[in-house]
Amino acid sequence: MSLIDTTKTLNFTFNGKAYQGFEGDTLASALLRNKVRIVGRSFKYHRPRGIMGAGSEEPNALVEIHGAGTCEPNRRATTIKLFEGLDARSQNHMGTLNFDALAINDFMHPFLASGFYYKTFMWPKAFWEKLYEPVIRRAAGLGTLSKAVDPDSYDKGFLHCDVLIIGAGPAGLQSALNLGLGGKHIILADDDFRMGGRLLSETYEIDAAPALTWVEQTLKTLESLPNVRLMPRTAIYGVYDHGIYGGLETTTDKIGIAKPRHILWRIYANSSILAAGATERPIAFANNDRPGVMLASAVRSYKNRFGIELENTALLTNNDDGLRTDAAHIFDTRNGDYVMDVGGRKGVRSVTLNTGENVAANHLAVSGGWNPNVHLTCHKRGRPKWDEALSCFVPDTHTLPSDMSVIGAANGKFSTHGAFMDANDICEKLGVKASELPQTEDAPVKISAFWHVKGTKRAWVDFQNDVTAKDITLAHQEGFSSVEHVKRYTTLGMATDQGKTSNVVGLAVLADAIGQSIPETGTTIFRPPYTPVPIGAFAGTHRGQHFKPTRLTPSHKYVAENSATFIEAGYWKRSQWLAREGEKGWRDSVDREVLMTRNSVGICDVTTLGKIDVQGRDAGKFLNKVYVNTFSTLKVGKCRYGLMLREDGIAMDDGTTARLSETHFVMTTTTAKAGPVFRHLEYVRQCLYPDMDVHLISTTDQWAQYSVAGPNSRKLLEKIVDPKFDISNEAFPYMACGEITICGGIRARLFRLSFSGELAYEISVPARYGDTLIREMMHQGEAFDAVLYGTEALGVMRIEKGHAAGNELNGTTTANALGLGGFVSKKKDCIGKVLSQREGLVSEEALQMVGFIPVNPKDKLTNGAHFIPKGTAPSPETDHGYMSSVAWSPMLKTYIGLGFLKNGQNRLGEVIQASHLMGNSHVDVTVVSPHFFDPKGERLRA
Amino acid sequence: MPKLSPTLPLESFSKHWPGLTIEEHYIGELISLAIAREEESAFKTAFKKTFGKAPPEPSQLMAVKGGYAIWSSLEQYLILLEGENINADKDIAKKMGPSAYTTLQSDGWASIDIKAKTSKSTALYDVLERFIPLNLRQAPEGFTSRTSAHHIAVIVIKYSETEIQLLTPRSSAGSFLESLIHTAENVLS
Repeated sequence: MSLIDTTKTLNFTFNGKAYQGFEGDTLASALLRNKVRIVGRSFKYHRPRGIMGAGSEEPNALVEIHGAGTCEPNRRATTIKLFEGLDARSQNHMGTLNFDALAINDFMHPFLASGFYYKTFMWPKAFWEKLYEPVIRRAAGLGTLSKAVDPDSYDKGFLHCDVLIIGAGPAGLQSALNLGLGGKHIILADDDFRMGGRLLSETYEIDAAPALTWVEQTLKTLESLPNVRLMPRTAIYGVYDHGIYGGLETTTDKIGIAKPRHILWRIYANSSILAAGATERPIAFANNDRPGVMLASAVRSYKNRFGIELENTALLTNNDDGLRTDAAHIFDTRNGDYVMDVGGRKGVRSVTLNTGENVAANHLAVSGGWNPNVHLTCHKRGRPKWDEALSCFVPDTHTLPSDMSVIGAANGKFSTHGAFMDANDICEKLGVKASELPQTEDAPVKISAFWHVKGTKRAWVDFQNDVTAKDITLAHQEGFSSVEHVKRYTTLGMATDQGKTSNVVGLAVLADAIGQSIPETGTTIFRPPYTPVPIGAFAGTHRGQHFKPTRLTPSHKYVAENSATFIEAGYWKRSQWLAREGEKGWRDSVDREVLMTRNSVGICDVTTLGKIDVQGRDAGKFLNKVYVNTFSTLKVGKCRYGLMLREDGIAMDDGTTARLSETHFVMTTTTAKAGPVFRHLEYVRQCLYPDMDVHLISTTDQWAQYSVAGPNSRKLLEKIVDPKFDISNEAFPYMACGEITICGGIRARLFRLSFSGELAYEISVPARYGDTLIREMMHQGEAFDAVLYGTEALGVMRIEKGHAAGNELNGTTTANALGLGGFVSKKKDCIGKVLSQREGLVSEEALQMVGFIPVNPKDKLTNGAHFIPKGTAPSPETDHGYMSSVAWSPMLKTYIGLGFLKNGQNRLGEVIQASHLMGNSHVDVTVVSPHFFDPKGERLRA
Repeated sequence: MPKLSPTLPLESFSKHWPGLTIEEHYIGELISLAIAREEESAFKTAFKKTFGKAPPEPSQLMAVKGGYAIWSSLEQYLILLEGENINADKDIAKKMGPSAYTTLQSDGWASIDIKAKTSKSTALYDVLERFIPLNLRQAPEGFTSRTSAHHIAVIVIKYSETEIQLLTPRSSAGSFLESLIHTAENVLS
């Protein structure tokens, strides 16, 4: 009785040819059902390859799935659930699958042994990049990417449980049943789309009935329990710190459907039970990679689970378990019988025995014993131990992840009874009463290790990477004795199957070559992921518009209505300029915005500036520590510019801080540094000055803030500020601040600050009023021809005024370099003060910020240009500094620039050359004061 | 004198699926409360006098006079007050005296309610387990926590088995909502 529903036919194609399978088939079983023997070509030698396994261990049957104009390569046919319309294609061949031109590699194999690319292609030297490497790269590899946009979606999720059970074979199901009935919140995950593990593929009985009956009853019970979550098609691919496990759920193999194909689960488990079973291993003998040579367990799977009889099957085994396989000819190595060679290039036709006898066969089932699936026990540096009696590595309880238990075949208990016993024992340990032990087979393990048939022909160890026993012995002859070195030299155990079938056989061959035991040889380290995880699954929903968050200001809708072009500033979108009809380019808009602001009034959204509430009795003292200048003496109702240094004395950020009450300051930061500054302040508060009474809260999102700048800014504000607040120059002078009300009682804050150099204010309101405030200000501003301006105009005006910004606070400049050395208080200490006085930072030769104008007003300045003394060639030795910011000044009708020049303050009036080598631009510039516009500050104090 | 009117960060967004509703609602006033150093005792007294109860423990939502209180971080609480009072921080500051510092936070956050139609519907938790790294299925009513979802900060409050409130910063609330809706459609459509 198979698990195939033969009443539901599914149509599919393989390499364009139409076939039919049934509901319950995998692609592999459906191909075998249709007698397709060759499914792919090998990695290096391009030898014909057939299906070898029946699960995730499959090394050969890697295919591409096509759909929606794209394809997914390297999918194991044994794990693809057949669906109607499946379009599968073989990969890694030039020409057709049957006639692969690159099969010539097989005849050239003496030249292609392990590490051949380290020894050949040495000459002529120039050929490597131009010929050899491109040709090798073209020939190498498995499937190819379509390079089309992935039409599918992926998702992520987070699950929590008391116990995560990995594997739904007899051990996993029995422990899930016990723990589920015991009230534990459990997750039972299995990478197969059908739960039951080996019970689906064997003919065991449980409690005197077919094992499948027990599986179905157990699953039915588990499904009825609200505290149990069954997750078929979910591979646990990694074990991480803090009880976190990575799980990849495959919802479908179809490409281009509306729902996510994969969900990447982060599973938080208080404890886990690894019941992942075991993987059968092959035996290495000549031509053991012929299509039709299969694992014995797979032959039984295809027969019992999928109802496929593989005709004329021979069996090679070194253990009793292999003898469960129906075979016409049985060769048991324990009786001295073994296979020397396999005939039939495109499919097994015969096997040659050690006696020299040729036996006709179409399939050869091989059982070299079982390897417990210990991978997940090693992801936190656990190392398995060798069990001589079982001839396999088993988990070492001393090196397991602390919250993990291993049961069943994964623990070296290969009988069903042993699996049930383990399951019951672990449940008792977890404080749950175990149910009655089901009665079932308890066959002892009878195995005699047999790894490799020595001979002159190639015997495959790693089928996926085309690594033969000869490659491993060659590696040893060439001095590679460490298993880790051999792995990397030969590629043994790499790629999508991660050595599931090859590792132990490879170790045995290496151990034999070295002349030591397998445990002395050791194992390589298993790392996540256990099974391949698509990159798309790691990305999840973070693509397109969901790639990263976007932050919008309260005026976003309004400025968008006014044709704003947006620029990203961190996560923020800020309006860069706002074009008007008839303007031919961004410069037209920016020049207009500057001129209208300087001539009347402009409004700019500055909500993005970081705002941090600093409250507490020690708030002033705290600010003294983080700023170079003094804030404890700042009067209530006043603002002050502040410069903040890093601990190494380099300028970190600047901004203004307002004092709203004795214990309440509001700090502003630059947009880009809002997060880092807040983090820095918390560090200072919590770690450096924990005794201070200071509290910090970011209020950036709380307040919508607008700069209102220009000679008519006060007149505009007078139309909205409630009359009881006097904002005249006398009552509210430059650097004043205060809490006010506007528009008939709406709470607001007003700061008389100026980044533009104009009479200017910054007004803030709770963000709920941000949209209507800017609309109302623009409405009231119509009388003054008020203009909205963006970050470009803001930048032009601050350069005209000589204010440093991000380009100048670039992580290399100091207070001295910025011309702010005088700000550093000599009366108090502050973070960064000592290191800012390092000799190289304060010497005359240190860089200092100055202004630059082109000698020829028609010349354009370029950001990033280096200053070279006239008459000298640009070189590191003649480099005197660099241009950090440039702008066209519509007020001065010339380009202007800010930059850093050695001893700049003492070189005003000097003409030097600004050279931009990449742009091949060399412009003579005059060194000037950075204060290009209204240097006395008369406008901002008006 | 011109008039200003308030707007919600997500313009009163609302979307319904069979068994699930996601909608923005008016948050009320949200005030942060920080304990002044060495004023813990006075703070507790003032808190009880002002809100009728002792301050909540971590992860606990507590119904207090006028609304709810939650522990937000070491020495800090968030008070969620019903109704509109833009000066609520100042009013509370007066009541708490020098034992606490208050900050108006109402406008810094957007509030998204995600509700199941009935307690039998699993849609609420099916969606949230794809979005929030917390065990909300098993969390008790009155559970609250700060975490992040899709790289955006969020305060999660479980009012009942069928109603969860997500508070997320106003500026990135649009992205947050888009991601939440995207996830919901992945799960429910």
